[in-house]
Amino acid sequence: MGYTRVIKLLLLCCVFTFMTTGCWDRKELNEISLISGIAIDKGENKKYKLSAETVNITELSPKTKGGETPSVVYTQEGDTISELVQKMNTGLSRKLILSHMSVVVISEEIAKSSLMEFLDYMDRYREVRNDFNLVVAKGVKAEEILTVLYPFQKISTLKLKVQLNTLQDEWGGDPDVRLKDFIQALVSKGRSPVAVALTVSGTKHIQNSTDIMKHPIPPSLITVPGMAVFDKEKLVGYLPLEGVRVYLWTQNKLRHTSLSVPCSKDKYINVFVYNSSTNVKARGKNDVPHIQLNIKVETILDGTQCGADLSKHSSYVDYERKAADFIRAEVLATIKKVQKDFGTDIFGFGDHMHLQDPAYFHKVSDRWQEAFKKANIEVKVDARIRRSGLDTKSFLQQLPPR
Amino acid sequence: MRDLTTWFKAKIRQKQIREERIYSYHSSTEGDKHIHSEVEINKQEIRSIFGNTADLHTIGIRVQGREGMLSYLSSTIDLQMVNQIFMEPLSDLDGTESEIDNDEELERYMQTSFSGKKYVMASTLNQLTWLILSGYVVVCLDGMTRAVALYCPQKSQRAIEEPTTQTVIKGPKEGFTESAEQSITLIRKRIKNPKLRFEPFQLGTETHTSIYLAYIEGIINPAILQEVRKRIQSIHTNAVFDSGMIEEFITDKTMTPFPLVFNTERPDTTAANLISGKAMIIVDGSPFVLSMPATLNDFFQISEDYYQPFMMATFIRFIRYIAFLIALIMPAAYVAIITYHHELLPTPLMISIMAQRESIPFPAVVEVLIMEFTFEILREAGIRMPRAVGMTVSVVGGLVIGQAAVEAGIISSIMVIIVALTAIASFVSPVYSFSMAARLLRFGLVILAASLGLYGVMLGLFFMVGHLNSLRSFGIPYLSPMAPFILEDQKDVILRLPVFSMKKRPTSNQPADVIKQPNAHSPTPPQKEGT
Repeated sequence: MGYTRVIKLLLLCCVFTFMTTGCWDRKELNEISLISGIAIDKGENKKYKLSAETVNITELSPKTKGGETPSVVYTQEGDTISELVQKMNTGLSRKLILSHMSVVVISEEIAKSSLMEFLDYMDRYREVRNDFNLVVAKGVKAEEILTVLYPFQKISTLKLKVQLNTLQDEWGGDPDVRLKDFIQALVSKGRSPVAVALTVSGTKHIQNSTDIMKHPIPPSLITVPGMAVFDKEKLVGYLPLEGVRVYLWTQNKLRHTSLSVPCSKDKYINVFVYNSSTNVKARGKNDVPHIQLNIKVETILDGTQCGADLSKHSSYVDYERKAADFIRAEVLATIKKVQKDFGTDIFGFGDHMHLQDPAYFHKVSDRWQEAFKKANIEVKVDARIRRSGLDTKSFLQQLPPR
Repeated sequence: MRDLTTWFKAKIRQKQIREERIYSYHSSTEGDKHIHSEVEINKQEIRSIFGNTADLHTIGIRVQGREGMLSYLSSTIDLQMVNQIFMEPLSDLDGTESEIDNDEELERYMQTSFSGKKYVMASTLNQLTWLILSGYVVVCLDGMTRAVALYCPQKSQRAIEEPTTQTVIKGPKEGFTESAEQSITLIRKRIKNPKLRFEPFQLGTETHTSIYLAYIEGIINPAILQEVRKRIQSIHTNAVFDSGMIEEFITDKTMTPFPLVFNTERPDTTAANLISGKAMIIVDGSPFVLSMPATLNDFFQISEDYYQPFMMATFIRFIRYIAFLIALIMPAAYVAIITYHHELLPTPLMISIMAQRESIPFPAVVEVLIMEFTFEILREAGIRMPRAVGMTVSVVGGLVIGQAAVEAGIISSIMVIIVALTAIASFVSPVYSFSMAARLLRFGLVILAASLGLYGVMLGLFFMVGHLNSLRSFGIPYLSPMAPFILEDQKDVILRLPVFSMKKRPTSNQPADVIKQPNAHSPTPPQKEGT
């Protein structure tokens, strides 16, 4: 009896130790601020300059908003991002939490001078989720990206999150790179990372103001010019928006896009790609890598300026061939450009080679980037037009002769 | 030390004295005397036993030329019935020649004139007392040492109405009333089977309440039946007013928020339970019939499940299980996520909740506790309030909780949603006593959530499941047929498969006869000729 009683008491004590250790990381919602995005510039005196955008919550709720600024951006310099995040209260009032951060902006300068070590902190720190967009500020300082407000989501970074996701979904304009992907590409022998590039278009003097939300034509706006290409941790250049689409095509990640395919001189057909799949075959032949891309796309004919008779099968065949040629040309052009200008395998063909022809890859793995430059690229496109919208006959065919 | 031992000894002695007094009071031999041959003495004895209570009547009569006495409690008998069936034959025979000279002749006389009617011959005053108390009219005749007791009980009971706590949309609308006899009638009406048994017991040293143990011989497991019997017999109580008082005496474990005995006020549920091999206890004076053994899933099922299409019934069962979980963990999960796990919420929801909580002066856990307590107070007030002022509670309560608190900025509106959803979800369980468990455990989980976050909630749930696993109801594991897992029974736990697929009784009750409807099959439409 006494024995069991002692055990019970001990158990009770154990339970109380649970209780008394609790609460240490308790954070009431009205004692914290969300960081919606951070921007990392090169510091003038120290290694980094960190700008954090914190959310003014009351301004985001339709009930409580009062025309103040929806976000507060604070900047300070230091040698590690971790210290800077903890030290933000030199200027800001509440405890900051990183778990809802949606964008991390890296300045061009940082990216060009290979200062990406801070990613280790991002990867390690438990509060950081793997769902933010890693972006490069092209031609502007990273902190400027955080200060351009937008009337719908109000805060710059929340707008960017929605914008980039939609762009990727609807047209294929965002490479859809997350922190883990970026690090994976950094450590892989057969791949180099990419990141979407952002810039501020419009007049700069007005951007740092809530007035920016009062104009129907925004005086300044964050736009996507393309994507940044890295050679490992060093930024080597940019690809235009079409390049991003090609990148997604090679990654088998393209969801939807829209193509303007020339059908005769200055006339175009417009096809909407709603289903696309890519199969990459990699082989080493005579010490030269051969990469074959088999792209299958299913499309809807969205519009035609040529006015071929769509009740005939032959016109579809013709359009399909033209669309396939167009895609092939675009994909080839971009890959060639990357091979020639950057010489870095952002497409991960090396990874494919590793899986499909490991013997060859092991031979060249240490000089894969060189091998990639010489690689033979072959693109096969199978384009199908499945539907032609609501009309079979275009009104262009029925125009009275002039 | 010595002081302590003497103090203990004194305490024990006090207890002994108290118990002796209790037992001597109940086993008093007063009234155990034989009936005297002189009516006048009997009359005085009865008068002294009952005192001068207003409803005791002792009236002098003449039967067969003999002086006699009629004695009854007007509150327990039906006087009209006495006149119709008993007094008329007695007075009719007054003029005839048959003589009653001794007790044997009295008995023969009673047999001839009251054949088919319920009467008892009593020989001791103690017996007489009980008979008078239980609705008999006692006739003592001069010179006789035995008395005749004629059964004419008063049938004062309310009409059969729809059950108030366990209502259905489709299905029988009868509910038990407080009269045990009527309850038995309602059950017997549904099960026309000679193996249906009602074993009478009498409990309460002061109230002498009749209770009945109902079961179907041949279906119920004899070991369980014996256990139920044993537990009823070992009840020592002075008063029984409701089946709930019996429940606490016979349940396997009282230190648990979960009810280990099922209760119902529906005759159809009772019948279904009997058929599936359970024992039922009917208590006179309570419309709630106890059912045992009970398992956890009994509390998520209702007779209506079987009166509805099986897909609908299965869906509704899902809803009940989910609602129970909501009632249990919703406030705790809210507190945990809001104070510890901000990363679990999508950003837009997070922003919306943060904006609402911006001006709230309390921590989330205090806010939850305030609202939960307010709601519990309102609920209790709503039940106890006189009907006439009931409206006030709902209006004031609704206003206070819903609007004023939010507008005053004390409570966030998402909190109102959480509490309201929790409250509604806790009413989903078909058995009221079961939702109590969720109500009690909810507070514990909220405290755990506030101190340890979701880790604490998980700990609490682990403890709860462990506790549930340790529970037994009359030897049957409380979580069966989930743990131990019985595949055969899964047809009727979370799912409710079509009735014809259940050819066996649920084995979690360990019935003596497992086969239920071996030839049941699904309906087949008539085949067209030539196909």
